[in-house]
Amino acid sequence: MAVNLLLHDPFCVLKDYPEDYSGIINTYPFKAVKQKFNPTGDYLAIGCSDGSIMIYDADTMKLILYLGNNRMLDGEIVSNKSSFFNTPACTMKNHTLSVQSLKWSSCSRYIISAGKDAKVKIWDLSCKFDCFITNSKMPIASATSCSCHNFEFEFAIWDARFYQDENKYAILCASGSCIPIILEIESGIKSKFLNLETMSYSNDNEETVNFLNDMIENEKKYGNCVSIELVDEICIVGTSKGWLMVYDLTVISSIRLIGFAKFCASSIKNIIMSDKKKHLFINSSDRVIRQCDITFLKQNNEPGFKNANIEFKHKYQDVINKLQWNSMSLSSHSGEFLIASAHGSTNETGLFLWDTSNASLVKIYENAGEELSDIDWDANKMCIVASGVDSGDIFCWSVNLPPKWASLAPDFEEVDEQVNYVEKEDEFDEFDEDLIKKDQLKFENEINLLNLLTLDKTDVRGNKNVCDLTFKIPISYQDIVHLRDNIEK
Amino acid sequence: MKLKLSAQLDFESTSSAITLALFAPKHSNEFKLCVSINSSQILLVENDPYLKKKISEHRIIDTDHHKGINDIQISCDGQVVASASDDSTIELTHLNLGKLSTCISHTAPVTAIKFSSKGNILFSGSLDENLKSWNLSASGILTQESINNELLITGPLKTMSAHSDCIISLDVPFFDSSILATGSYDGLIRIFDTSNGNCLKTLTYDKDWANDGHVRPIVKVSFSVNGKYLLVKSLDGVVKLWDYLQGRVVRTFHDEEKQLPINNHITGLDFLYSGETEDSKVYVVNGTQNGRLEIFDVMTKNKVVDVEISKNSVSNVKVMGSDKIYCLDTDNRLFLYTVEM
Repeated sequence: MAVNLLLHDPFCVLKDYPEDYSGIINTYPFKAVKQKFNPTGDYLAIGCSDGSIMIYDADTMKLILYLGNNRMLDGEIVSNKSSFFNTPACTMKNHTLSVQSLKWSSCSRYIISAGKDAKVKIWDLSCKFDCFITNSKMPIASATSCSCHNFEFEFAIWDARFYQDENKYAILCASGSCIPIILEIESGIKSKFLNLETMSYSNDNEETVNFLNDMIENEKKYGNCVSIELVDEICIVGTSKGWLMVYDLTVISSIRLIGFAKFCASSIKNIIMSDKKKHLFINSSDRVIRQCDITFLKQNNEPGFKNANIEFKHKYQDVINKLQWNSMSLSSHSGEFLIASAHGSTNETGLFLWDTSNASLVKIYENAGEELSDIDWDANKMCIVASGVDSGDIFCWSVNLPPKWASLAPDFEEVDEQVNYVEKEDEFDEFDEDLIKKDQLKFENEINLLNLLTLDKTDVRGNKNVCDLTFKIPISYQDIVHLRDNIEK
Repeated sequence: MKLKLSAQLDFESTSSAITLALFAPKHSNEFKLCVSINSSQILLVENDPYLKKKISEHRIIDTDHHKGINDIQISCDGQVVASASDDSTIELTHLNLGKLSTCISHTAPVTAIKFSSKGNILFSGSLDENLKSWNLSASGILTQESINNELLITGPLKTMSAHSDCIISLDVPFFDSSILATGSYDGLIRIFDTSNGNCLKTLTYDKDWANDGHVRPIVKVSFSVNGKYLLVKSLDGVVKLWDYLQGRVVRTFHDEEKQLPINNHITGLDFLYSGETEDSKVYVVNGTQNGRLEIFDVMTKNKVVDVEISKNSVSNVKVMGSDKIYCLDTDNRLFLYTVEM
């Protein structure tokens, strides 16, 4: 939530997309490859090419937390901490290879990351602390044991997501199969989405059953699953051979396939579904982003969905240079704008922004001067961040809120044109104190609805206001003291 | 509604204690209360909400301040006590680790401080008419290079020239520190955007505010818990509730028959919420310069309680939960009143 937006010029606040380049976030000596804002836009998690994950504060754009063991400090601090504060020492190590995917849980307390080292890690941001920021309605008990998790796999993990708000399950997209993996976080049980025992055929039509059988028997034919999108209980998986499968996870013990289609001959790199589950964007290696409408048919008696229909709508491509798209991101809510980073782009290109209602190119963000890869679009701050492929810096675009000079005095007014001053009839009359008081009293008595307690449900931009229900990262005072002592030495 | 005196702590002090800080999060039993007992020492009352222990049983925090302490704040995690002093500095003391940092940059006594809702920024207002924000994170953790640049608090993040007279009070909303309100002796209330330091709104009581003779200094500003209203007290003791978005006063709490001559005592003010839901009742607790504690119903503007608690002025009032009121008077006494609905 941001109350300040209520006081700014509404024409500046309510822009559909960021227009102004606002500089870079320097992550030196690390190279950023993935970056993701938390659901409230308060923190930015940055995954780096050496496996480091850092968290920056979005207000100050300063580093506030380094996950795992910082090699630069030889783990010295960690051991000091646990002895002094009796907090559980977190033994989580960094990824040893580049971070492949990074996602926040809806409460902002956990981060799930997948690395090229075939590991999936779940980070509990509260684990090194025993005192928490209390400006939150979310009760957090002091951790008795570290709730970070580390899962190792034999094959590459492309993407990992939390399933639903309780953070009990994670959905992983692993190579070696076209069927994603579901991971029970507490117990560490890994199972494939579909195995013959748990499949329910009862409501499915013949076509689906045949497809399922074929998919389980000839997994190779469908390629590896390489991309995934999870919105509420709908999971969409894209494979390296251009297949798209839609699963319904309403009942986690019996996952059902509700739609499938072959989209193209090449690998599907990213999938995005709009928040309202209406539009689907598919980025594939054949240099095209396809936009589809997706509709779901409800089951008659049981919970969940019966069928998903996908209807092709628009194509996005770079007509002149025929560039591939590295990554893409969607504006919030109904997904009115799509942004994508071009592969191998030069100084003149960078990020492309389209209006999704008519597939027209709106803007090209050129300021970066290098090829960009991962993109994240934060709806709260209306900010786009993209990581540079060569420099590893993060480039930001945001909405510029100009200073309101007229607000420096209570009765100033900004005017666009020269206005002739006409003295009003009563302008320099002496105020009648009693009359003013009476007017004020009347005004006060007319107001009988004052809400001083509850927060607005949404902010000015229409984003859900969950700031009182999300985790705030505590400050590690031990680090401050440690550093100060180091300097004094 | 009735008030009952439940406890009283008298402490010795060379000067008048004027500051009181309270840390009592809703979802835990933690309780911390800080009172400045002289120019360099802070009394810390820990886990004793009913003030049963004696003064000598409580911990005293020593600071390096050599002039009086104007404001104390406890950080949102209850670990750090920040104190603003007449010697123009702010000190941050960790309860277990000792002194963390001293913020030096103001050129005149620091009068008001406040932590942001995420706990990583400290805002300060001063008699030098400036507003400053300080970053409180260990940015230097990463590399040796950055240690030299941006360690701890070496200087303020941002300085905003805020007013044309001293800033006496400031506040940020509990859940959202994107805005900050200041109250100054120049009679203006200003709302700032904390992300870029721009002024977003200026409010004033007086129609002819620029005319020097009529300025009513502002001594206290306080946001409602949802950050939508601003409670403001001027030096003449009049309390007003502003709908700052509309720029209008929606409630005035003032007893005209008891108007006192204006002196320079700053008195306490706080909200009292009977619950957390939309239809819970909200009250305003106001301390006066003649030692009275008044409670107004915000909806009806009726004065529901008016008791004399001291011979001197009530310098600070803090409400905990829906039934406990801690107040401090200039005779160095700390009272705990419980509210009986």
